[in-house]
Amino acid sequence: MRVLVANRGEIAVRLIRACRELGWEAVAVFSEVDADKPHVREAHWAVPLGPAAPEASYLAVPRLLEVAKELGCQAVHPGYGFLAENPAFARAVQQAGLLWIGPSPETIELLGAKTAARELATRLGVPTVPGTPPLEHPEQARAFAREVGYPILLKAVGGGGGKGMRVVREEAALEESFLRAQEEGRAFFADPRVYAEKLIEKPRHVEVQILADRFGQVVHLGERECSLQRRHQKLLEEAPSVAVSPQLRSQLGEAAVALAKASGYTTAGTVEFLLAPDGRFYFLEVNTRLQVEHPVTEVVYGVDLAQWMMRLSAGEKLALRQEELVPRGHGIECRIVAEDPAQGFAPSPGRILLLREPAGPGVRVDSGILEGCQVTLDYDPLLAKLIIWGETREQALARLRRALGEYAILGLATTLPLFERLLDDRDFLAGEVHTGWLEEKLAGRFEEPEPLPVAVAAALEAAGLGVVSPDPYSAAGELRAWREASRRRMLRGWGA
Amino acid sequence: MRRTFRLGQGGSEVHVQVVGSVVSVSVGGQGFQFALERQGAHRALVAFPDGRRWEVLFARLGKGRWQLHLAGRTTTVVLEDPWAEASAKRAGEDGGEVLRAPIPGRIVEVLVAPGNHLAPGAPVVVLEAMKMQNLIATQAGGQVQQVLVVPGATVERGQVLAIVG
Repeated sequence: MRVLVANRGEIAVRLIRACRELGWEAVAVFSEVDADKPHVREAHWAVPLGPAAPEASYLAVPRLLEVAKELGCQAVHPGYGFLAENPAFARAVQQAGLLWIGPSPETIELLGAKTAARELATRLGVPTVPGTPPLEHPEQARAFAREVGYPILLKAVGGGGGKGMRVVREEAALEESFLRAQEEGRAFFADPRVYAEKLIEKPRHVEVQILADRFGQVVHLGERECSLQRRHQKLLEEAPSVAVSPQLRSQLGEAAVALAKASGYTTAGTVEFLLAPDGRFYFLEVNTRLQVEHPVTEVVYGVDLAQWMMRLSAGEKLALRQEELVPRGHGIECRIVAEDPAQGFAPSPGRILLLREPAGPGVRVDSGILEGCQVTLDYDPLLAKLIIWGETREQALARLRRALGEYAILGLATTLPLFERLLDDRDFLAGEVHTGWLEEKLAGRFEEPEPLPVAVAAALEAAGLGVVSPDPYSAAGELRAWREASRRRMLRGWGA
Repeated sequence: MRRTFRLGQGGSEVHVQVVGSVVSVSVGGQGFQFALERQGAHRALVAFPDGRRWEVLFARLGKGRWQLHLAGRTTTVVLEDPWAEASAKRAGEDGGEVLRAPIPGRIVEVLVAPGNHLAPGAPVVVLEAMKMQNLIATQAGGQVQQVLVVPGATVERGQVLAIVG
């Protein structure tokens, strides 16, 4: 089987590795700014797509299909992001006579419509966050709040990103909040309709991994705890969640499997839930793709999800039995992102001047960078994922600390120091977190650096050691190396 | 040789003295003494008088901006040269308003050319960062002296975009 890996970065490398291990062949694609990235080197073939802009490269459907055809591919894997949850692309791939590695376009479409997915959940008896249809009068919201209890959330129908959203904690504030939300909806989204939702305070975000074959067999592989987020961007994930008992795990798993069966799900997917402090859970949505954080499940279940996704797409039967799927030990994933936590997570492009990755027991690095490569602002800033496995959560945390100490990325700011700081936090160590926790923590400023690194930096600056020697990666450097090599060849020719 | 720095954003004073291969540094009054042995483009050994030797990985990201990996931690250190800062400030005061990129990004559009007269608050460039377009405007207005970027250019935080006034 020859697979077009229609993606970039660490996930492209992950999928290429899965292909190679299955004895399949992988075709990578890359944009102008990605020629120096590892997926280009790891694949059997690598084909340039075009300029950096996603529309001209990783989202250019006709070009991707053309490459698949020219290179004789039989299948397409979309990875995550880009075209992964685009039913039109899935359909185009199938219409081109290629195998689509993922759930069917119909399933992607069904579950992609969030309201339809929630209706399906309700039909199956899977709890969702109590909410209302669009409302016209504050009175209707008042009736709803009396039924489910305060606090509630008022949201403009067209809203998003926090705009047109208000928290109401008591009946006295309801009417004014409702009218304001209506006003914002009208002003920002030209739609004054507002709906109400029960506000789940300090929830955790947990998600259940599922695998399904074409023959109706579905299994779940427990949950991932993804509560450490900043602006809905996950930064650290764990499996299992400290808040999930084996009994709750079965309940979550059964709910996820029921949703998968009812939607005709195949291959790998994730069902997301909010978990309230009282142990109640509420269905959020289904992600119809292999997720960024899939490795934490892989390390605790000893299952290769990327390979299974490919094998199941190719029509294989699921050989995993639910009763045999028990988590062992603890997994943690840190997302190493090109953003500067000391500067409000400002984007941090640049060249990777030095890269030293950790290794040793229980340490896995899924990386999308190489020393010398240029990190641009064109795409998602995820550079690499550090994945740790330990027999217990304590061992995993100790290993994480050790691995972070070995990890060095120089040339641009990354989120590495953030994880070092997290390991000193009592709440994090105790697992007492919720989806708003990280942002609350980040409100505190990063302190002045330790005096010793400052002393060494000052010494380097004063001694002029920072006068960087000729950049070995620059065009001039390459030219020099090439001249040097040809000179040596000539000398050999003369019998030197 | 002696040098004095100030840690970024009004931090501690840092005094450095290099005598032969021995460096003495004081950071906010705390003293250190060590030798630095360079091992490669981004690698050196820090040798302390008591025999400890630590590896330091380093990169100079810009003027006075250092990134170090030392004892298992990555730290960014910004060293300001009080003399250079003072003279830049003077140049800015005499030579006009220096417009800098507030965050790293890409120049989408340059809205002015050298010689243009700008009203206070007039936009000068459009900077795209974090998927948002930001208008960088002059506060005081005046004549555009220099434009130092072109559309499509990637700029770093603090990079000078234009000088006005």
